[in-house]
Amino acid sequence: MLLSEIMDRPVMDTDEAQSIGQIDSLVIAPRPAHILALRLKHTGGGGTLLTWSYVHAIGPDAVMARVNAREASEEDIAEHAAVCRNLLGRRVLTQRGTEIGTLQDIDFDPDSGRILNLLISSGTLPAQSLIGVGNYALVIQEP
Amino acid sequence: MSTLMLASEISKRPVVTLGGEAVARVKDVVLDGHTGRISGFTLSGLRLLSGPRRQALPWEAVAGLGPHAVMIQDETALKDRDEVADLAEAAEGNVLGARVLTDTGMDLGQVTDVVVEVTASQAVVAGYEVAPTETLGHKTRTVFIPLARTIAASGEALVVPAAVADYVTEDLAALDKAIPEFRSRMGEKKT
Repeated sequence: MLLSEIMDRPVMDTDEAQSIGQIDSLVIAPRPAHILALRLKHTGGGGTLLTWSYVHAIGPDAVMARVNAREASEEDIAEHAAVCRNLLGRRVLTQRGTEIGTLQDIDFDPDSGRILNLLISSGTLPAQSLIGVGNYALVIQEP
Repeated sequence: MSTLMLASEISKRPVVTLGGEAVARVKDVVLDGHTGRISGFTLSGLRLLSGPRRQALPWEAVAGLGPHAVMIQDETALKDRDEVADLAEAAEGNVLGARVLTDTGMDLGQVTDVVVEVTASQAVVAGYEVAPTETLGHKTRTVFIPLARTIAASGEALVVPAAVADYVTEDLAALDKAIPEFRSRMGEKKT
């Protein structure tokens, strides 16, 4: 599943059956590449980070989540979330210092939250190669 | 696999951790005058106009020197400036502007930049960019010459074997091809 496919998808609280926002982007971490949280927008003043473990299902029309769990763990992922702001479009560098493109999209497994592939402007990279996610660049390990 | 790059091109490149954070910018390449190796980099702040930093980056701590960034493991790679600079007898600036003379007394031109050969494990001076004298007959503004191992150098002039004149190239790609030929010829002469 691609980040671009779920962008703007409404997020529903399974307990209250209420909309809590829309998907804005992902908060990711490397080694192994995985989703830490979903960043939400249009939350009506609520928290904007939804920890991945509380995402119940990513359905075709809505993402179902347990909203009461949302604020509890925001502290732990705040640093990652700050780095992952405006992640799409960020430059991608190899560990040897060559820029190979910019991040265009993220292909992930909606069940496990594992990131499968990084879609960059010059092609598709397996996510295992991701070794760093920073403010300046994503760093990948060249074979 | 090796790549040729100009020392001036390495300057201004960002220093980036493997975690993807830019921590500084390369100010100057520090060359070890004895071995011809890059011994490290002096640094400036990230903004283009920011001044020199107290810290420098020793070559041993470089994880990768690429065309777009100098990669390091993390910020602990940066060391006190004096530790790096002390290792270098001659900085890059010393050869810039120096005249290149062959041992037969031909003036090839003035050094305008240093060509560095970068491999996975080290970076060594492989040649010079030279603003040529008219006698060389090159139309380009600058030419490249391979570095002779038997070189004598001062801030004023570099004395190179006359054979260097046969390996003057107009671009880095041609120099890359000329270097092995030049080296094997220089090697043969010694025996």
